[in-house]
Formats: sequence, C-alpha cells, structure tokens
Amino acid sequence: MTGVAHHTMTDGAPSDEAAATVRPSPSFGLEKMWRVQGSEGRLHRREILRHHLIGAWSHLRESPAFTATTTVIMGVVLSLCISGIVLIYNAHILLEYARSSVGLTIFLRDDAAFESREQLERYLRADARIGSVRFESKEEALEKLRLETPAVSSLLQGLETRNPLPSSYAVTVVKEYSSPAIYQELRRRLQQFSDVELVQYNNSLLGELSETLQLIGWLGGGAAFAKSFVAAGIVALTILISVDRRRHEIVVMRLVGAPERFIRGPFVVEGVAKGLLAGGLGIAGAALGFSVLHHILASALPFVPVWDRIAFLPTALLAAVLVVVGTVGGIASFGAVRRAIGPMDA
Amino acid sequence: MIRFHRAHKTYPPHQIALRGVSTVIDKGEFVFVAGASGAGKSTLLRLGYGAERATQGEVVVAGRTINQLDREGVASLRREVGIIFQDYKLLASRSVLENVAFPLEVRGIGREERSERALLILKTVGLGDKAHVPPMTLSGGEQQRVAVARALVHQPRIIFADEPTGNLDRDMANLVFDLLVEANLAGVTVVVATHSLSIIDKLNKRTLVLDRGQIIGDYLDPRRGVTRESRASSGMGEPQEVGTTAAV
Ligand SMILES: Nc1ncnc2c1ncn2[C@@H]1O[C@H](COP(=O)(O)OP(=O)(O)OP(=O)(O)O)[C@@H](O)[C@H]1O
Ligand SMILES: [Mg+2]
Repeated sequence: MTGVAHHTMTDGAPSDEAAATVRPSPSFGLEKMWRVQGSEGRLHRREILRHHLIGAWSHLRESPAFTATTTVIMGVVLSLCISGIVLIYNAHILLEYARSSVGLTIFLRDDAAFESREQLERYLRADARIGSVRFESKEEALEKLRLETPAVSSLLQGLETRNPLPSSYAVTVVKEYSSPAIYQELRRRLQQFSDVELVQYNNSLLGELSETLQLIGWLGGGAAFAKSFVAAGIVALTILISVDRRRHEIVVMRLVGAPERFIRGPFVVEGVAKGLLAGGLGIAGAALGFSVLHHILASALPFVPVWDRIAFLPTALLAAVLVVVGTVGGIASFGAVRRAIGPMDA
Repeated sequence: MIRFHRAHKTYPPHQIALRGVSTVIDKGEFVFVAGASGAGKSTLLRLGYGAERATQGEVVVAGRTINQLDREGVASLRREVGIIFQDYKLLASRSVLENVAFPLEVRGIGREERSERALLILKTVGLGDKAHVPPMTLSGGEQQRVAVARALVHQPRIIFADEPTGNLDRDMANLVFDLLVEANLAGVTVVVATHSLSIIDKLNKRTLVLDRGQIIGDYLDPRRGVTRESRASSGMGEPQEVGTTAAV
C-alpha cells in the first residue's frame, strides 16, 4: 500500500512527479473510530420488537385514507361474519331452550272417567321418554287464562259455573329424546286413549322452529367461515400493496443485511393490527345491528317468547373472535409478504 | 477474501454476462474492475455480494460459497460488507443520520449507540451538520458521502462500490475515493467497478479489465501497464507494452 497519491484537489492527469510526491493522506479518522467502537453490536430483542412496531405504525400512518378504507371494508365483512356467529350462537341457545321447554299438552274430555285418567297417568309415568307430568284442572286453566290475559278477564266473569276450558296434562319430554319424530310418535300414542280429546304441542312455535334453527345455525356458520376468507384476502391484498410501496426500502434493508424477520416483522405486525382494528369495528358493527334488530323484532312480535333469551356474544367468545382475526391477519400478511418480497435483489 | 473460479453468469433467458471469470482478491486489497459498458462489471460485483448466483463455477467471499447461501446466509454476508451504488439508494423517509445508522439498526443495536456511531462517521465524511435533514435536500456528492458513511459505519470487511462516482463532479469523486482509500488503509478490502480511467490512473491500484464477460487484463500497476503475468515472468517493474488506456 505504498505510493498512494491523493489528488483530491488536483487534476487527474498523471505525472511522474505526482506519483513520486507521496502526500500524507488526509485522514478522516476511520481507523481510530473503529478501534474505539468495535464493529459488532449486541442484538437487542427489545430493539427488534421496537423496529417491528414502529415500522408497522409508520405503514399504517403513511396513507391514512388507504388504511381507513381497507380497515372499514374489512370491518364490514367481519361484522357480517360476526353476525353469522351471533346467529349460530343464538340458534344454539334457542335450540337448547326449545328442547328443554317443548312438551305436549293432553286435553281431556269433560266426561273423562276417573279410571281412564288413572290409566293414562300410569302410562305417562311408565314411559321413559316422558319427563315431568303436571295435571291442570278446569279451574286452574281458567285462573291461568285470567292472569295471562287481563284484557279479557272481565269477559271471563261468571264463567266459573260453566267453565268451557278442559282439564289437561302438561308433560315434558326428556332432553335426550327431544326430537320432532318422538313428539309425533308420542302424540299418536296418546291420541289413542279414549278420554283424550286432543294432544297439542305446547310452545309449538319453538318446537317447529327447532329444525329451522338448526338450519339457520349451519347457514350462519358457513357464511361466517366464507367471509373470514374474504377478510383474510383483504388483509393479504393490503399487505401486498404495502409491500409494493416499500420495495425500495426493502431493497435497502436487503443491502445492509437485514435478517428476513426484520424485513417481514413490520408487515406481519401491520396485518395483526389491521385484523384487530377491523375485528373491533366488526364487533361494534355487529353489536349495533344486533341491538337494533332485537329492539325492532321484540317490539313488533312481543308474543314470541324468545326475546329475553337471545343475546349478543359473551365476552369470552368476543375475545376469541379478536384473537382469531388478529392471528388470521398476521398469517395472511406473512404469506403475502413472503410472496411479494421476492428475490434477494439489490 | 474473494475468489472467483471459472464463474459464468447467464441472465435468463440467455444473456451471457460473464464467461469463466477466475481471480483472487486478497484481504486488504484495493481493486478496480474496469471495462466497457456491458462488459460485466456490475455482474461481477453482484456475484460478490450475493445478489446473483453464478450459473457455473464458484464464487467464495469472506469464507462463504455464494451459491450455497440461503437468504439468511446472504443477509449475514451483507452484514460484513458495505455496498455503494451510483444512485446512492438512500431512504427518503429517513433522516441522513437514520440512513447511516440503518446497518446498525438491522443488527438490533440500540438507538443511542447507533446514533452516536452514525454521527461520528458522518462527521468523518464531513456531514456532521447535515445529520438531521432528509437526504433528498443534499447535493449528489453529499448524498454519496452519506451512502459511503452507511457502507462504512459497521466496519465492513469488504466494500463493493459500483460506479460510485458516476454522478459526481471531479472534486466530489476525489473526496469519495479518498474515503475508500482510507477505509482500505484501515484494512478494508475494496472492490470498485468504474469506467473512469482517470481515477484508475490517479490511484494506480490493481485493475481487472473485463471485456464481454472475460478478464482480459489484471494490472498490478496500471499506470505503467504492469500485469500480473508480466511481473511474474520478468520480475518486478518491467513495463508492459500495453497501457491501461489502450487495453480498455
Ligand atoms: N438483469 C439482467 N437481465 C438480463 N441481462 C442483464 C441483466 N443485467 C445485466 N445484463 C446483461 O449482462 C451484461 C453485463 O451487464 P453488466 O451490468 O454487468 O455490465 P457493466 O459492465 O456493469 O455495464 P455498465 O458499465 O453499463 O454498468 C450486459 O450485456 C447486460 O445487458
Ligand atoms: Mg454496471
């Protein structure tokens, strides 16, 4: 390394004189600086995490309109998705309720003989499928009607002597046997007793709804599942766009030897954040829609005895939803960025 | 430190850039790669820092066989080298200081330490007072010095510079080369691709001359036209007939 001539301020034309006069190199102090500092730093986990967070934040902030639009779109998709889950959840609740509350009411003829009533009662107690059995006399039936419908109670004055209401047995079916087929079979059997006037489902609305409820549950679940893919697709798409805008930055990161996780980290965090943000929006949207719909239906159909039973999702389920959308956001962006970053180009 | 052994590079589909390049660059050398446009200078450097893989043959840099490296391997190699381009490749969204500190950031070095080190090297390249402005507000020469500072901040073992002064006037170019020479004096191996015969002539360092993908000359003393072969065959200092200028 001898004869290094520096011509910082002179013309590049060579001359033997210039080559011969070895001028002292204008030292910048590099060697001294490196000696003092050493070349390798320690790898701080905290520092890397900070990088991911700051990177993600700057991605989100860089174009607020883009972030807002995509997040809102995802929020809408997710709110539909969450509505589906609400549907399944409530279908499940109602189904359980229907199973436990549906029963049969056996109306007796007024002239039913005591023996035949006993025979019927024996049968009811013997059948393993039948749970509780409760007898209701003509008087009790009238009293109940009076209490339940105060508007007509005046009309019922004086009916005590010629009470037109029949006496009845209200029976419930053990939960394990609670299916429409069993109801039908039981109904057919009971109808054959001579003093039985009529066998009816009580709470028949729910009883008949149970299959519909099941269907609604499946459809809601399927739709939610499909929409979650749409949401993941949107996350992936926004990450692709985000990566595309940062191509130059990624090239520079590659140049200076950034590890892969350092390059991808901010995008994955961005995806998780977007997932959570959209998930929060989705939950809020679904909750709003739920309460509005609940209110409207409950006041339009007050006699349907379900409004106090259905509910929005419990907190644990909401937390689970957030965890899932966050994870899906992260995974979708990890996949997207993996594809998008491409060759180790510089 | 760097070894090319019969390295071929064909860009898809069949653009041949290098045909059987073999050479060795030792630790601490300062080497120019010269040649006409399209001769393969950039490709040679890109093979060196792992941006391309040789289609045939072998390239070994800092103890690593480039063809066998995965992404993390390439990243790890690049943490030991510094790369400088004609177009600087600075990040517009970051300040000059943050740009220079970037190689330290990817190592997970804490904010304070990296700012301190970046500021020191910025002062070294004469830009201590521009640390907090965006790079786009600087002149070309200043931007290239920022890029040089970034390439030097982590004390690389090797510097690859591809046409580093292509956009600069002579004074700025000289300043950049002074920095590269000093880094070299401090032990860094330097490989510079350039068209500029005047700079080669001035610094008079070992020069590989490429033509259509082949090394056609390996000058140890380009000013006198001394090639490796001529020195080997006839002892030190025997001038060769063909000068650098003629060869290129
Ligand atoms: N990415 C690429 N795809 C296809 N061909 C390429 C690619 N890069 C370079 N080449 C070709 O390879 C050959 C060598 O290119 P290279 O860039 O290495 O030359 P160079 O000596 O650096 O030229 P210059 O002085 O103009 O920068 C050229 O013929 C060029 O067209
Ligand atoms: Mg080139």
